[in-house]
Amino acid sequence: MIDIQNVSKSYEKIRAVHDVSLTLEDGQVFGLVGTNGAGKSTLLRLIAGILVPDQGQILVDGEPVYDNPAVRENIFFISDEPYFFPGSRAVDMKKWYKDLYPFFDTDRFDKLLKDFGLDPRRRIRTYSKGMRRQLAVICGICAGTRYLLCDETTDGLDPVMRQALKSLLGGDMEERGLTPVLASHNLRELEDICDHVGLLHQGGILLSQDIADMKLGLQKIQCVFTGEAPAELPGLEVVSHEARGRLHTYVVRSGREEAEAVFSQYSFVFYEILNLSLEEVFILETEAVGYDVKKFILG
Amino acid sequence: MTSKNSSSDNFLKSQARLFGRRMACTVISFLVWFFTFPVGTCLILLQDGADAAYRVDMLSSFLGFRSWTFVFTAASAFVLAIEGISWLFSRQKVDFYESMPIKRKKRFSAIWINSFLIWLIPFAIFAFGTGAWIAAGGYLMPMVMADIGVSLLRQALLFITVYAVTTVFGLLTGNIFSAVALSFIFNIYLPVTTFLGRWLCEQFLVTDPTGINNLFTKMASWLTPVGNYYSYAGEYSGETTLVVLRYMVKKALPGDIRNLALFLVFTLIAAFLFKKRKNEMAGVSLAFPGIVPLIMILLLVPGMLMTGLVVGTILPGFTAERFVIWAILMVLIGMAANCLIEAYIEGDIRFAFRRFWAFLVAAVLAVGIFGAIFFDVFGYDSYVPSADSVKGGVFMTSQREDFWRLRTMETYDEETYPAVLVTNTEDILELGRIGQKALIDRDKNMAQTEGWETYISYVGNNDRIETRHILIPADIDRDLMDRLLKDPAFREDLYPGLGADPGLCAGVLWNNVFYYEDTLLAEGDKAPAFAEKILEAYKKDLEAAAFDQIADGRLCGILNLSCTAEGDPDGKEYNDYSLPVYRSFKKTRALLKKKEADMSVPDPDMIRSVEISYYNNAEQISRTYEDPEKIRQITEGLAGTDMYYDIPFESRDNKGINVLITWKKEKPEDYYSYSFRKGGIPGFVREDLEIAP
Repeated sequence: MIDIQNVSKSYEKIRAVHDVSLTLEDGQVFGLVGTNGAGKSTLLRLIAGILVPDQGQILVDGEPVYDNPAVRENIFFISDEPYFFPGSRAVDMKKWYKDLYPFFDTDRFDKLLKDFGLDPRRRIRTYSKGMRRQLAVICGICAGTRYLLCDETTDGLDPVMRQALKSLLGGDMEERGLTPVLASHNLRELEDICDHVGLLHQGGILLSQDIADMKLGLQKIQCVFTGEAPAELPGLEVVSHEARGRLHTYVVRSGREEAEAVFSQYSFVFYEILNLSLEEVFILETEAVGYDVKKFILG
Repeated sequence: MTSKNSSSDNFLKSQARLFGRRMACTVISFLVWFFTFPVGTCLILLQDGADAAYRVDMLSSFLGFRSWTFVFTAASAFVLAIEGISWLFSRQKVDFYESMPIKRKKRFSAIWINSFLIWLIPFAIFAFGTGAWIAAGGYLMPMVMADIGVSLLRQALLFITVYAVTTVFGLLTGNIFSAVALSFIFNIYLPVTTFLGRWLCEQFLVTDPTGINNLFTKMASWLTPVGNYYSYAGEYSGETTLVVLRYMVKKALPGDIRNLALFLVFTLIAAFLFKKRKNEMAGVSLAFPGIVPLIMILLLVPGMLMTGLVVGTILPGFTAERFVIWAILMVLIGMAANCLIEAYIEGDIRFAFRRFWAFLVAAVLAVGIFGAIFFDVFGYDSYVPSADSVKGGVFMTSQREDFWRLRTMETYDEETYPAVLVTNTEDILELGRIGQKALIDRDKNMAQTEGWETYISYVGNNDRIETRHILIPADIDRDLMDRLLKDPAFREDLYPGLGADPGLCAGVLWNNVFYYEDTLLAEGDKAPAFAEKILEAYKKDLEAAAFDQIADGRLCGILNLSCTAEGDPDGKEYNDYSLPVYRSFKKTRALLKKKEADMSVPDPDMIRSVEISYYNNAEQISRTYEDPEKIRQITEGLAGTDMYYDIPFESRDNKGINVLITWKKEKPEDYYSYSFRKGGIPGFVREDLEIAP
């Protein structure tokens, strides 16, 4: 478990992370979202032990991470700009990581290189940006660490590779309890992979919640009433209501069954309960706490 | 989850990883030392017409203790130190390395050791390999391995010191340009600033010929690794013997100890800075913003003083108006420099006046120092010791009383340099006051004073001598000069501190014992004490020594005497004699033996031939002897006490009777050179070479 306790970090006068408290449970995929400059990379670098917090502390399995090799053997950080030695090849990086990470799986590394179509003998500098990211992900997956921190890793990957990454992470989570932490400025990329999402804005955490809980607590109903639409829906907290002609769209804060029970009292020409996208959930939740999240999540 | 191999990051593995990562540095280091040692040796050995002495000299100059290759070592340390911490200047690399499961101090020390090995391994392989080759080839360097060993140890110390200093200043920065610039500046900072200090004092403290200069010269090396390494060095040539090597090691020791101290201190500072350095500072100009004002002041003060000096050379003179002009120019140029540096540090010209207070502090310091020296605020230039603190004084004169009688101006003459020792302290201090004031008036206040420039030395009650530059004005009180020159304690024979016997040479004005830098002194022997021993022991020989016996080489000391010329009863003409102190003298031999000098003579059974040469009226006559009996007689003569032994450092001269021995074993360069003296020459040689009895 990664426990972030009241962590702040500034670069001279620029406040990158401010009083963030989070708990990253094992076995979950944690997504960190936020715009550029929101503090995602800083927070990941703090978790990886690259930076020292100005305030607060970060404990990984109860131990501080900074300059603690025993803890770091269980953390692999994939930077937004992965570094490889000049002139090196994939096999050279394998050798490097194998010496450092005690559970590095060389057979799997070779297999994944083959599966991803990466030539292990080719100089990495001749790889495309996407190929370099793939290699970084392969290194991270094969390092055998319990935590995998990915900073904007999905950027530059094509949809097929993104899907492959998801399945790799899923497999490792199931097999050896991997806990991935993925940072991205794009909420849509994280939606179908994360269990828990934290939203960072201007160095602070706006929201941190299980996606399932978020979705379960909100219901989106689209309907066309046979008669006039009711002025209110008794027993339901309406988060938003939009009417286009006779088509009404409600988002209510309740369980699915509760919502169905209330709506069953009315007669409809058309009635449907829709799945809320993570993006919509975020927009609604953050608007509820006073932020116009569309500005900084969706651009 | 536990680690299955907790020692995975052991020393060898980490070094192997680092060698792999720093392959370019490793290859360059191998190439540098390969081209320096084996290739350089080949080129020397292949030179046509190079004699053995030349080869030994050339080979020693890069293999042994007097090697110039320390330049490569210092450069290697600088480059490897910067390269070793360069990952701290890139966020990408910081993320990569700092996320690895390696303890930071382990990484720091691993890189440190790796840098040292990158330098050491090729150096040792090629230097010792070349040494072994030379030794096996019989190229007259019996001590070559020890010589290389000493060189390696001293250069290793130089390497780690330069490395530590460079690392400290590199760690203060956040990008490669700043790292190189700041490390380079502070590696040479002290020599440059002391040079500046010397220049300032020379310009403005006109009566101090050597004092502050010497102080600055010493300081320049103390905090500078290369200065410490090279501080002992003189010009040496010839073969390195064990005695020479021991002597050199002792002589180099103070500088080496200073370097060791520097290494320890700077390594601790580097470790501290590395620990405290924040990784997010990668890419900025200075990683510790708090030190910016200090850096600014350290750079701006000497920079402004230098500006003042340059301006001063354009606008000479010591008036207050000129000082104001200089000060304004200094401050303006300093301010421009300050703004440029600030703009660079902040990466934005709008911040050019940030921390302007630091500039103001620097400006006040620079103008203050400049003004203090310019106006001699502390009275250094006009300082004359109090009468009760001195017991006498010396001033130099080239023409004695005649000078004053005739009132002629004489230029300084190095050939005759007599000194006048005066114990009438009031008069000598008065002369000092007049002379110093006259010099200050002439050099600073542009007074047209006619007079004679010379030096005056105040001899303190504690025998400490302070020498000042003076101008004795032509219109000086004649009575004062008469009193000085007729001082009852006036002795023209001695320069204080040496205690030589004035009866040694009739009419001696001044004698002194000079030593070559390579004089073989034992620890604790100071030059004058050693000289006295020699002087005492060989008085007779010296008295009997004639001018034509003087040779520049084959000596362990030179006695410089200025004697009244023969046949000049008035004692107004002088001859300077440089009398060699030879090993052949019995007591010198005993002394040298006591000091473990090599006194061995060749074994006649090992000799194939002996060539004896003699310059007779500038024409060289040579004879070669191969008869064992004659060889035996010659070597017996060599073993005698009346001969000159060949000792290190001497240059081949054409005045002695030289003996060149060729050994039986096939080593064409393996010779041993001696020179006979007095009765050591066998009769048949004397006849063959037509040497006059």
